[in-house]
Amino acid sequence: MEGSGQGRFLRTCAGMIRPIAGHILVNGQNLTGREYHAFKRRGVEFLPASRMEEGLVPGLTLTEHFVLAEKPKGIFIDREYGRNLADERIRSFNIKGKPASPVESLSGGNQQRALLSLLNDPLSLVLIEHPTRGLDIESVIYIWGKLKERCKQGAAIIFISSDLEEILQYSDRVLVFFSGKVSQPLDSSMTTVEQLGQLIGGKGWPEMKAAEGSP
Amino acid sequence: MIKNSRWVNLGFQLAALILALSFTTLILLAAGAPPFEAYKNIILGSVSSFKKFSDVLVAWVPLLLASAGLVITFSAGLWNIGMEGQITLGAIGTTWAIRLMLESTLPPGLIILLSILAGMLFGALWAALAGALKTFGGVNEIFGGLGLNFVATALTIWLIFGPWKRPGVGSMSGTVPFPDELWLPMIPDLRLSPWALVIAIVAVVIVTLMLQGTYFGLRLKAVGKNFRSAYLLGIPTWQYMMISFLLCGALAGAAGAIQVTAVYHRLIPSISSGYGFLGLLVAMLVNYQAAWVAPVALFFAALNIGSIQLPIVLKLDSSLSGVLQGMLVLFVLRVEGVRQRLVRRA
Repeated sequence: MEGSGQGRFLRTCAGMIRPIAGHILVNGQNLTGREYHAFKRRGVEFLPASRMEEGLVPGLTLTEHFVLAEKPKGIFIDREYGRNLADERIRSFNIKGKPASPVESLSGGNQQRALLSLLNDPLSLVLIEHPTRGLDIESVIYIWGKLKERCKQGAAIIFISSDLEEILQYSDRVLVFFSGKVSQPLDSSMTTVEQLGQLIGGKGWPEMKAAEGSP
Repeated sequence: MIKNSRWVNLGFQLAALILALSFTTLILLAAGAPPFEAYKNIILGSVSSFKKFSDVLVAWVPLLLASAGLVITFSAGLWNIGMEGQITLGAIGTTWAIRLMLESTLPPGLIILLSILAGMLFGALWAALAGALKTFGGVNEIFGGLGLNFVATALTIWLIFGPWKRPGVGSMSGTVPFPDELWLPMIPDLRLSPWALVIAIVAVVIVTLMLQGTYFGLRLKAVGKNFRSAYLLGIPTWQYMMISFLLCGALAGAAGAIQVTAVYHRLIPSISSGYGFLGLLVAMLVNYQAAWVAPVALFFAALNIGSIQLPIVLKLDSSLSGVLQGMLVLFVLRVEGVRQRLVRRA
């Protein structure tokens, strides 16, 4: 359930919130207390749920976003390079928009595709808040297709969602947050929507503990 | 819904101009003054002779520098109200450097150059103070800048009546004028220094190129439009804000330096002459587009100079130019809001 700490957990993993205790290791390197950009340089990316508030820059075009994310060398903007980059990204992420479209003029699904297209290469971990909230079904399928591709290329994905079916369908393991507690990783192939729903509501936690305890 | 096109936009801007003129005319009528006489005098007062136009250029230089600097901070989403103080500190820095080198054997040209650089440094540091208050202290740059403006003014007065006072007694007319060889060279019989003009134009060209053609400018714009997204995109946001403060402060300092070396040749109490605030109006009017800074600043400078003779000819206060400038900004922003509501996005 939202507000149980999963959002803070995700942001802590990205270096956006300083953890009170414990360490954060990225590929064996201790990044505890470092800021998000240190994580980003090591292949960790955070995709926020509020696309227009934290993800994209309203007033800038798609091309400008691609160029900003790509960090090209040099001082002066290479328009030719930007145009080619935009054409390529728009095609490969199936974004319904022109290179010169301001991002706020895109639909939610296309904004999310744009956000996904800004991810760096290579990636080791993607942290996503509500990957498909408020999107049309076609975009949902498309976006999960792209994320699975990233998984195949070797990136781990941690996402939070309030859509229980989405959680079970697309994840390998599930963590449930409730009332200051975090569950053991649950195998999603062995978990049902009902079980998950009960755990979110605070039911069945003692039984889960017992089950963990027995051999 | 109206279609978006260059002509429609031009129409809206023209409407804003007409509205601003009509409202100023109403104010003139209410004051019992002949509006067309007043406008005629403003135009004649600014362009009727080469000397008058050169005076417009004298006012254009600091306004151009101030506006160019402010376009940078505006792009970064910052309201650098501390501009006046930064211009003042630039003037103080320049005066300080010149006083330091008065007895030296360095060539005058080098002294002037070093003094202008000192002014730019002082302006940049004063701006960095407002920037640091914002980034590390959580003080909004509007309040920090405004506070620092008062400090800068007080500092000028203290210097003029204290450590740098004229022999005998300090006076509101400022410090002792510098010897002629330490003035920025001027065109004979005019108050205009071609060097000052060159500095200002070069500055505007650089700022325009930087904001419209470089990756730095693009990142700065991203920070200004949405610094949270910019941060997630990997842009070091607070560093960019600080850099924009430093650059703006350096240009403000250059404006102050030119006021000292090319116009007054000494430090006077109101050395910034309101160019910082007028620059804010110009920067708002051009709406982030650095290329428009030069013509708009020229127009504003012409209004300022043209209205100087109003009190003599028509017994009107010369602040009429300020009324017209304020109206113009007000209506351009207002009409832009209306336009965005009416015109469909392309």
